[in-house]
Amino acid sequence: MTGSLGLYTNDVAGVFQRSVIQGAREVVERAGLSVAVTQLAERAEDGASAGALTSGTLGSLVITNVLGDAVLAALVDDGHPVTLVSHRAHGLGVPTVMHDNRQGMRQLVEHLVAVGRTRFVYVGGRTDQLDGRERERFFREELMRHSLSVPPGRFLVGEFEPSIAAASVRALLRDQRGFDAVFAADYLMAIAVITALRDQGVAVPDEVSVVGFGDGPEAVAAGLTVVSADVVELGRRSARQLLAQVRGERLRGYTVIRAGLIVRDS
Amino acid sequence: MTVRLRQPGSMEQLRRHNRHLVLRAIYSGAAESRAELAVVTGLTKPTVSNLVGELLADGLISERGPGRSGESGGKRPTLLSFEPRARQVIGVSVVGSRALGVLSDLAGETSALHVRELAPDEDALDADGSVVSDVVAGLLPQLDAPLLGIGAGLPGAGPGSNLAATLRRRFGVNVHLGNQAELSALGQLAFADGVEQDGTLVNLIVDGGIEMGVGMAGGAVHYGSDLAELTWPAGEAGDTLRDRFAWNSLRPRVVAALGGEPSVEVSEAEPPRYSYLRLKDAAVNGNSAAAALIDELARDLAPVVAWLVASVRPTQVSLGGRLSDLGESFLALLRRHAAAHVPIDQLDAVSLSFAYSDQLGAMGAVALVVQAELELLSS
Repeated sequence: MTGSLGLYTNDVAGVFQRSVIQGAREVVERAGLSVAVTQLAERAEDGASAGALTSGTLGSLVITNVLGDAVLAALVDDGHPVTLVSHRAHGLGVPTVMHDNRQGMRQLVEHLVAVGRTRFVYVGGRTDQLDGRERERFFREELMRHSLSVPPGRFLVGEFEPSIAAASVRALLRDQRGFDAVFAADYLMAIAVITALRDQGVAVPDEVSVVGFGDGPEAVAAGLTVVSADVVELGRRSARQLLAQVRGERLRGYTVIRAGLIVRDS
Repeated sequence: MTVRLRQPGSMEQLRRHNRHLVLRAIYSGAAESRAELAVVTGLTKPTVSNLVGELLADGLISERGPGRSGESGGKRPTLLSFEPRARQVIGVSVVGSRALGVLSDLAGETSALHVRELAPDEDALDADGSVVSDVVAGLLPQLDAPLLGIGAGLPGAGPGSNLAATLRRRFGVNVHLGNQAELSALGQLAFADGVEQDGTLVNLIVDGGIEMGVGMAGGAVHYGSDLAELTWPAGEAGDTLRDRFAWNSLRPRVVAALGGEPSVEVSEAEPPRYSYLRLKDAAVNGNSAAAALIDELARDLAPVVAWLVASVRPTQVSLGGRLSDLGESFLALLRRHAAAHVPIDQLDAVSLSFAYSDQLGAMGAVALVVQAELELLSS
């Protein structure tokens, strides 16, 4: 088989996007195909543009939700193989590969409860992204399971942006210090939170534990406790799913990649 | 001992049996060198050497270096290890309105799940096996080792051999089917932490219906049964266990109890989710209607649990399905109410637990395949 697969994203330079592309590229090139990366400044919503957008490719990997439902529906109608990464398009039957947010959150909460932490702060991701919504929802469910509660003022805005996460934590510290653990919806925000806490004289992990979702070299360097939702691996797994479709397999449903707890120094 | 068998089929069976004997001894830690294997299995050293050679070639075991020499000195034995990642298994079960598959290694470590939602009018057990096939096909791209087999745990008696044959034809590996409550019990015995493997475990799944599964002797023996149509304990006419415990019957009451509770949704665009987890949370936070409903559920379920305790005499009763979200305090209530129905010494001999995972049936299907293909779990 020869040809190329299209990868669509909003920002080729973002850490998440770059890592997915790296993993996908490894798998696709090993299969003897090439990768054509397209950065879309805005989400493509016009179904009529679907053919032109994906022209010349054997299949498409959509990394952030940059292809709207009308475009995805047109591609599905056309029999063009598509795999979505970390998001889902309900009712369209487009297969997805994503991390196991439920199991990951469960492991993080269980870990902190086991080391005696109960007064939590949650730094959220973007709620327009599935990962952001799911991680917060599963965090709340795990609180209920452990009969714990977190006051509304301790759910902080993070938007998957380390600088926003750090600012939210600094603002919280001006107000109150009665918490003993911070969950961040991704590991890059968690690293920024550690820096913000230490800058304000809060000892991590002696006074406050910090954990994050996802893993990468930055988390290793920072000694951050995480669930190992490795984003490069997510890229590899997504490319495998897309290649199966390109080879003629008709797939339905979504694949969830397991994430394991890695306890480090935070 | 010499065993003479004429038919080639039987020779093959004997060889397969001996191979499993050797593999199981390494898997269970009973032996870790060729010499120990000969002692533990009763096979001759040349036979053991041949079988170890085969298992090494298949990747199911590996040599991990020299051990200590025996008391009389001599050559240091080469230590052997089981390689759980040498094969993978796909286990599928149907949970509520979705079919869920796990991709697992031989030790029950999963690397991926695949979920296929069912359309409202779709039958997960359709004869052409399309739903289960979709789940298997979804996991095949994620394989990291050869596929040992496919297992499926299905509600009720399941569709039987047609589905197995269809799947076998399509995917080219052996397929094993079982009742999902039964397989949930097997999966816990085989893979779950905190389960006494030599004990007898009863798994009661309370979800869309109510089913029980029993596993014993390290998973070698397991059976299951659907209890949904029972009208016992005697209630009002036509009041079956399904009427009492199925989520669809109880959901309106959960909604009513949670009526005044604030929404817990992350985004306002999402419809409110009702669950036993929220019911429990409301009860913890002082909602008396929620607490009363939970107590009523425990009181109603207690005779069922008491009957299982008295008849099966298990070491552990594990509650699975949606109801498991009610948490530890529900178990305490259940035990208190069950004490009215069964001698206290019988009840005290049983540990009650929850099995939170919605993957128990699928993990049980994995255990079924591992047992059928490699006989690792038999005691």
